[in-house]
Amino acid sequence: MKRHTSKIIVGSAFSLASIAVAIDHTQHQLPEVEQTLQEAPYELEQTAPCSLAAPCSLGGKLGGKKNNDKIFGAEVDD
Amino acid sequence: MAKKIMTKYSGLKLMTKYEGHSEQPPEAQPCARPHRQATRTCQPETLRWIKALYYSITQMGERQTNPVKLILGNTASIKPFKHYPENAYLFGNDYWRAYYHCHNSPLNIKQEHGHVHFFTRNAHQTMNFTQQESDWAHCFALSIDPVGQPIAMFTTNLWVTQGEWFAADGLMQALHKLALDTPDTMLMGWFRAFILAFQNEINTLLVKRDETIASVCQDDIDRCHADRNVYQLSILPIQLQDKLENLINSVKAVPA
Repeated sequence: MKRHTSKIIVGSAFSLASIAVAIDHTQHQLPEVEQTLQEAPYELEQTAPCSLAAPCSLGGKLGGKKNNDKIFGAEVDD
Repeated sequence: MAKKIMTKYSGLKLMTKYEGHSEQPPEAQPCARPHRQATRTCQPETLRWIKALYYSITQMGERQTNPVKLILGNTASIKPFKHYPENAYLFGNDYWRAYYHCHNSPLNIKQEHGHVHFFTRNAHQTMNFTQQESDWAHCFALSIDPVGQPIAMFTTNLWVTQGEWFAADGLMQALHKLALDTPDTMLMGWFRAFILAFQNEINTLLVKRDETIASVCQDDIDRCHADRNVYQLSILPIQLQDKLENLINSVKAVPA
């Protein structure tokens, strides 16, 4: 009986609706991406990622763990 | 069965793109529920991380935010190719790095705003490592839609990301380091929960990546890694809600 009750409680917590609502609450419009020459259509080969040396590399300047919460001052956690 | 197609886009070959982006290869969804009535469940360990992901999402929802909003903070507009944050996050017991950026992509992922790139380093490497780019290997990238929701994962060729190149097995070992981590921020908690909840899909993605590179490269892998005609190596659409619904299926699967 106890197990059955637990099942009902847990089942209620993870209802389809609650999952949909949880996801919905995290849907927020992100800032626009600036349209520059680098964002030109691919017909302009020289502006496509493929024309860059390594368009998605990690980059040369890597920070330590302090980096995790100081950037842009937005990451604040309890 | 997803149909593999090869597309040419301004002279750029896109490898192993799944037609329509709505289909997934069957092996790519070991934890997904194929139908509402199904009670197929994940392994308990994976389920644990799906639950963690659910709580992380709930926490963000209460604060009216999402992972990319946390990354971007008060940024009003985003510069193409700029890294957010500039020096990349360090997490997962110092074995993982991530940054977000936006640019026109040849990947043809519909509705992509930008993507998070995840890098890792050799799981057997000691703590005596430098902060050099060459120490890190690209694991996968996570496409994000304009409202901050993950929509697909993909991998790219080495010339795109540079750094180290590890086979799928080596990259998956770094997940164990991630599981041992204690996240210090909400965002790091989401990174950890997301990667571990989707570990089966990530494995599929990486295995597919290695298969693609093997089939394209023949016997000259160095030449292939530098081949600018080969950009994307594998891609997998994501259904976040389906993943979280495994929690319900797991409850249904428990006998009364």
